[in-house]
Amino acid sequence: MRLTGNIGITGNQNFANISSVSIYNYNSNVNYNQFGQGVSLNMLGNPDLEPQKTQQISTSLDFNLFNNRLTGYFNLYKKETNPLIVPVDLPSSTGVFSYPYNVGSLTYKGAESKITFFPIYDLAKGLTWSLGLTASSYKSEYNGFGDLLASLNKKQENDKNLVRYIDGNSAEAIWAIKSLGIDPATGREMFLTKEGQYTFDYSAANIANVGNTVANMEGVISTNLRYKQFTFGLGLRYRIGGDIYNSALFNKVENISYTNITNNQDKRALYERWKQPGDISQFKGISQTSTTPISSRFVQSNNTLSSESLNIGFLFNNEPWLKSLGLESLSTNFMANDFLYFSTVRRERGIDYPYARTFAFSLKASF
Amino acid sequence: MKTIIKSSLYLFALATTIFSSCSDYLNVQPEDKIMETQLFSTPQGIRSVLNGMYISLSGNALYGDNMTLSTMDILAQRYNVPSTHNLNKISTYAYGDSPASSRLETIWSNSYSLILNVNSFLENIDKYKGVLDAKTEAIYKGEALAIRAFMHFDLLRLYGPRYSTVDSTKQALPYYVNTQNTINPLLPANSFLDKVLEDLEHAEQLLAADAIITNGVTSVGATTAENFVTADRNYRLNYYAVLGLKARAYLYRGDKVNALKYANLVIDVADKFKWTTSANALSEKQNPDRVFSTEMIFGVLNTQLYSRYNSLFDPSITDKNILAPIESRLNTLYENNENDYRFNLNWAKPSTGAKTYKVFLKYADIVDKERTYRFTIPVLKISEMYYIAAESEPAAATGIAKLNIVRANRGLLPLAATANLTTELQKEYQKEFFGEGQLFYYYKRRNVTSVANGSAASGNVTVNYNIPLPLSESQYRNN
Repeated sequence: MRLTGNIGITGNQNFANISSVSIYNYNSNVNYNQFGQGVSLNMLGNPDLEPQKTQQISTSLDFNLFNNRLTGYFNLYKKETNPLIVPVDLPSSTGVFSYPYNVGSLTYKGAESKITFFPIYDLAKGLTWSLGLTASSYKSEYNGFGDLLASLNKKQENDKNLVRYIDGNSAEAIWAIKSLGIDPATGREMFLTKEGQYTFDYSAANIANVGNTVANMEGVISTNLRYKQFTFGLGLRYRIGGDIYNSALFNKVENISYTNITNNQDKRALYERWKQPGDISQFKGISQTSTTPISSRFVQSNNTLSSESLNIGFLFNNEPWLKSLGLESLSTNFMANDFLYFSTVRRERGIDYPYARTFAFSLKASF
Repeated sequence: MKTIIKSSLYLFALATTIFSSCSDYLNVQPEDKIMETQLFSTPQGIRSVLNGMYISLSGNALYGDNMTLSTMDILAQRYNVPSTHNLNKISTYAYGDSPASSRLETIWSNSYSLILNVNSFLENIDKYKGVLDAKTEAIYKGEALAIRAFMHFDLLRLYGPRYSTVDSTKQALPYYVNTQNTINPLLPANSFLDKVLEDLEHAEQLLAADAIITNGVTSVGATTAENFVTADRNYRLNYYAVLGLKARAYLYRGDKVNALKYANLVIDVADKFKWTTSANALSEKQNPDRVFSTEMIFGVLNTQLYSRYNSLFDPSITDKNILAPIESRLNTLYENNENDYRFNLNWAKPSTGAKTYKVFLKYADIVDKERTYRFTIPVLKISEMYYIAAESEPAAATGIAKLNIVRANRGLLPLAATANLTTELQKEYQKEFFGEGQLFYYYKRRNVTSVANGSAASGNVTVNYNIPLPLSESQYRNN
């Protein structure tokens, strides 16, 4: 048994370019005039910005029980970043798209553990079987914002997730307007306002927390079996809880603009969208070509179970025919990585990055 | 032991000498970017910042295309944009659909981005003093303020309320005079316009020593630093451009007295902005000056102009993409008068037979690539000053007289003194500003709600002047 702890402070890591003076870029070489070239402002300087500091504390307990039959560790950690640099998107009239502020703090609390258990451990017979489990989960929380950012919110694009900085909220929360589905009579989307009213009109004021991308728990379940010369190992990655924003549905089925209707589109855009009064459909009316704002309709819970690794092997040694081939031993292995994927969200890999089931076979000879 | 102490002392001495001169060694300037400190320490640097602003202004997102050639004129029902056309959603005022929403968004964000550049420039000129002499500094500041007022004013004309109605006190747009990370409130249109006029007033004072007053519009000679403030003044916001903008702004507000005053100040020096000649309009076949660049008080130079022409107006473009009016509408607009320079010069049926109707030639390239009026798009011309004066004259007869001056220089016969000023003025606006984007603002200012449908041979459409603020703005505001 061993108990350890550590504490440390790190500065800015993985950080974007932020400067205390403004930075300019030359206009591209196709843009010039009779006076020559020009430069334009690329990034507005922020002279008062302090770098981020993150303090990390962690403690872990390693254990080894029942004569090596049960081993593993538990690890708890807490990371606090204070002051936080928050890149806040301002209205486009300020001319600035992402202005860094020193405000608030972000705390991550998490736990990790790994346990390996040998139900059968018989070295005499050459039979061992182990089961392993790793698990990790974490939670994040903002603090210290108060009302400072009440009128400023971070946003990326019109169709991506919205993130809000409010005390007590998680950094990975998904913010969108609550949707009540498509009205069968008109084909338009119905939204739920903050006061609990039904409305057809989209208003950014009604955006609420509709999910969180962080899983409740994720890790790997594995099993390893060894019987004399035969080995078998299987690992499965699991993820329980957490939501994801389905941008494929959003882009391919719904947000088809009037000019793109003339091109080929996803089949679901015709068959699954609302067409006439009385249709019960998940997607808005086919004649609606205005842009769909992000709503909870596209946020789905993301539980997955996927293959991490598979390994089946057989080792030939002490066989008579090995000597005649001049070999000391021959090891054969069959391996696979991506061959299984179960999820509550239908993933669309598209034509750029299709899902490939790969299997490999190897022969290793030693002389 | 002694050698160890000796060698460590030597090492120590060496280390201190190296590290004491190290502070600059660790200071590395990036090579692909320019810091503000480097840029504002030399006159060339400051010049390139100001020039960069004009280049952005002349880009396709702003006055190089959107605000002049395409979007603004489609909104004014100039072209045949039926439901089969790619840009149909603009002519049907479907502001929530693309491409209308994305183009309006582009205009908004590029305009305010340029305003941020201007504000940063003004602040830095004050921060890094001593690089420029007082005279040049005044000209630069004057031009920058004029750019700021100009951008804000056109945003108001596009997104703001119809000024003559009670909407002028309704919250409209934000006005930015500093680089800041806080949001400015939406100002009511009348306060907004006050700020525009304030900036123009300040610019007018700073530009009092503008070279255009003494030398007129001169051409760019050999590139010298001196040239930057004295040459091609009509491609920059010069003293008279500021006066012209003031006239426009006062007229927009309905203050005819001041509009007339400033229009007359420019008309008094009309010899600096010479009328185009009949030789140019009727006889010149190889290299006509279709944009009437000699009359230009302020214009932009867009190096992408001819590729835009190839994408928007060239007769070889498919009907789905071309911007051309229905021929009967065009003929009615020019009153079937082939003597009008504007009709004669800029419209012709393509000789290749690619199209059976007249196509827009104003921005087609010419043979001689050395001409200075290539790539030019006019934004403010002397003719507009006469129109503003005509509209603001207390007596209609004097107004008609002003209109007749323009008509005489366009190959048209003068009007009788009893002609209806309003109708004739509207006709002139329609004929004059094809491809310059000013007609929509005229309709909006005059509260013309029913306009001839550009996409049908007969009938009218109701123009929707309520352009909503783009999402990139409204989604962040609590109000």
